[in-house]
Amino acid sequence: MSRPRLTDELNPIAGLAAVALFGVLAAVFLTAEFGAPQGFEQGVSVMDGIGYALFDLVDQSSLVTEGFLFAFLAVAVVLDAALDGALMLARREEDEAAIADGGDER
Amino acid sequence: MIATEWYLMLSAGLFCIGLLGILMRRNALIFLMSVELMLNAANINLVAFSLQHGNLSGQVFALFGMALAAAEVAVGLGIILVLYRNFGDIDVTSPTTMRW
Amino acid sequence: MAGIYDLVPAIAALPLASFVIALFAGKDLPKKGALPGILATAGSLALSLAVAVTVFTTGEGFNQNLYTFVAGQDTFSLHLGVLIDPLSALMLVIVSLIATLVHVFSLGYMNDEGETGLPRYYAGLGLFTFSMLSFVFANNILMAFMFFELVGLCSYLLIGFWFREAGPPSAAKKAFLVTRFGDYFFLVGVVAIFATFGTGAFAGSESFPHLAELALEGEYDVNTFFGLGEQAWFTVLGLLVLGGVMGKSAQFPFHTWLPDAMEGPTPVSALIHAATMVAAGVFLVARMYGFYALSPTALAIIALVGGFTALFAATMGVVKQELKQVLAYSTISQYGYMMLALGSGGYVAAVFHLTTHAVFKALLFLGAGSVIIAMHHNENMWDMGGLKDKMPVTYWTFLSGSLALAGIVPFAGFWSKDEVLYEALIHGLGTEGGLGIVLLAAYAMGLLAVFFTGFYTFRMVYLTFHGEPRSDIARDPEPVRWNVKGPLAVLGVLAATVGFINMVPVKKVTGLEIDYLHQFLDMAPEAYLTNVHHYTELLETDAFAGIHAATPLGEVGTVAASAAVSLGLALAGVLAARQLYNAPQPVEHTDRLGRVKTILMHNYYQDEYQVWLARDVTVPFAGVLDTFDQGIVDGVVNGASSVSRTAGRQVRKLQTGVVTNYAALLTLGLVLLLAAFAVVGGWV
Repeated sequence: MSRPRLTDELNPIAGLAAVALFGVLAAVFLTAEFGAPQGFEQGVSVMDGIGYALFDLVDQSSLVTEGFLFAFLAVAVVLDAALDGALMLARREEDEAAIADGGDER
Repeated sequence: MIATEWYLMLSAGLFCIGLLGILMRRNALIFLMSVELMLNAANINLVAFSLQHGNLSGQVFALFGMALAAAEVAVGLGIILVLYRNFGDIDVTSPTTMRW
Repeated sequence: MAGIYDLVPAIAALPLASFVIALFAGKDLPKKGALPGILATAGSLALSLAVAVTVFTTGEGFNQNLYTFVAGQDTFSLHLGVLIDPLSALMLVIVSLIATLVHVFSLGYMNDEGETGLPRYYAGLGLFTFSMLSFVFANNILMAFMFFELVGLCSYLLIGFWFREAGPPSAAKKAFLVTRFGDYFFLVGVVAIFATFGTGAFAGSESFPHLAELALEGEYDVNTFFGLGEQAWFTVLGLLVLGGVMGKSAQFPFHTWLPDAMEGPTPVSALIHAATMVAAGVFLVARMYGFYALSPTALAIIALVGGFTALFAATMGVVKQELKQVLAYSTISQYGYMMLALGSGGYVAAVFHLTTHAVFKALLFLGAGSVIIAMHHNENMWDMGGLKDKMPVTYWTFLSGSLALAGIVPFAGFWSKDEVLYEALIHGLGTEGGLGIVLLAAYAMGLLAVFFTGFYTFRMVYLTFHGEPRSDIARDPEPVRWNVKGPLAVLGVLAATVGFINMVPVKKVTGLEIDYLHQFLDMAPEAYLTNVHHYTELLETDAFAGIHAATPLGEVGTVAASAAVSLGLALAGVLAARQLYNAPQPVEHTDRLGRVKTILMHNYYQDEYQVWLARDVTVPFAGVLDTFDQGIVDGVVNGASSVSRTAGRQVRKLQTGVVTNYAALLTLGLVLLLAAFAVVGGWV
């Protein structure tokens, strides 16, 4: 049984940029002062609050939030559009044959 | 309570791991997975600040972020399919026609 | 008749109108533009005579700026204006008279011979006459320069009239280039005069000759350049203008264009290259004489160049075989005499010789034209002979002109040439130092040239008209009509009589006041400062030219001795020619000169020398400059563009097309930007 091995298709030089970015971010976050987190009221249902927020029924919950109905509907449309886009990209021309061999043919 | 900066450090760490994947790996599917990691790092950041400020908007925004990540992956897979058809390989360094 | 001065611009405008008519309507006119030309020049002649009579009787002149074409703010302005004084009035009469006679002669030489392209010919003559007349009455040196160049252009157009043959266009180009070379120095001189004095006017108390005189006396400040003193700088200015004068008046070394200019039609040679355009140079020196009289060096150079050219050209005329070539070298030589006179302080003698030369040289050229018509355009004198019986009018007028040219009493040339030599002699004897020696040397050269002049003139006469006809055409020449004989007759009479206007020897011997020309030229208004006694004052002042006269044998004795010597030499030349060439079948005796004749026939190799200068000195130098222009100047420009192209070619390699490279660059940029903001914002 073969065990997983680290791939040898890496180009490690470029990774240094990401490491540098981590260094900068860490330096910033660790030296920033945030103060104590406010947190939420004990015993109130957070999930209910999120649900009410999604439907613009902000008054039903005592947690501080705002209405996101429009964004909810927009994301619904976007998900639908993404699905259609994926279908369109995956469609083949008429004379192309379906490849069922995992790509070894080419 | 855990101080906010540790959540932020987690988020930064995940983001940079995802960035490492984008910069170092050549397989397109691994590329997509790395992009997912970066998006989720941003989600963690949002939730951490929602706790910090006591406002639920951060968590709702994180939900939307997840939905968008899913949509993006769907389209991304479609693009990889087309890429494979044109170049015969899902190595992201092989399509180099748009160059000088 | 003060109103006559308002008509002076019409003297030049009439030929300009004939130019326009001939150019645009010439091909529809019966004589292709000759009649407007004749009428216009006759009108100019009438007006010029009226102006001259007015000046003679009233002693007034006219000096006015008529048009300001550049009005300077806080600096000098540039004008066009008119200056009428005795000198310019006399020259206007000469130019318009010769122009009228040449236009009439052209009816016979060009129209009757069936030449084509005549509207262009008459247009050229009209434009030339306009330019020359405007040059004569110009009142400032810039206007004189403009018309000087314009007459050069007309000379080019008319020499190259028969442009479909090989010779005329080449001769026209040579004439234009050689005179243009001299005119370059003239232009520099004009600019320098304006820069020094702030004015270019010729006459009056604000004229540059007078300002120069005041500057030398210490009463006026002028700008001098290159750290030269005032007299040295004025000498430089005089020499710069002299460049143009020497080019136009065909003095050595700029004389090479005049013999080649004989490729043009003979009336053109008579008008332009004998009487008027080449006189423009000498006229300019006479016009600015108050300026030249301040500098002994300039006068010495003028006299030396003149004397040398007189002898130099006379030797070359001795061996020539074509009729017009002899006359061309004769013209060069006679203008040398005028320059000799001007250089030695004989202003009246120079103007007198200019007048008589215009008359007899135009006569000789028109006579040559008549012979050329008769000989069907064969100019070789060895094919002529015996024409005097067949062409009596031409013969007698040509003989009158030849006697005048040789300087035989009582024809015009004797009086004027003798006065030139007399002035050179007495001023050479009376002036001390280098200038006196130079004047005497120039006098010697001029005196020797008298012998050669007599010789070549009568060699020409005997070969052309005497002896037996040497070819069929000479036995049966083409007859010429009144339009050829008329001008010849007029000029023939003038050549015999015009000398009587200034018979200085007779005046000195008898004491009668018959030197009319001297009195006329002395009549210029005092305010203009262009009269003879003002020039004499300037010449005799030691701080200026310092020329004095000395008469070792007393006035009467010296003038008689000088006249006797020059007349004797002239007669010796004539008799030598008669001895050698007055035979039924003359032989080319100049062959006995051997190698000397070869050098003379090749014009002392001056043409080859100038071609060498152009081809082997100037062209390589121009090649060097061209290399500099293409290599360095263009190289810098091309280099600037190649820098950006090369840089672009390298920078574009950043676009590798690989997505992960772009992502890496993006990340790197983000890191650097964050670090920069952190440092600048004071976080570190």
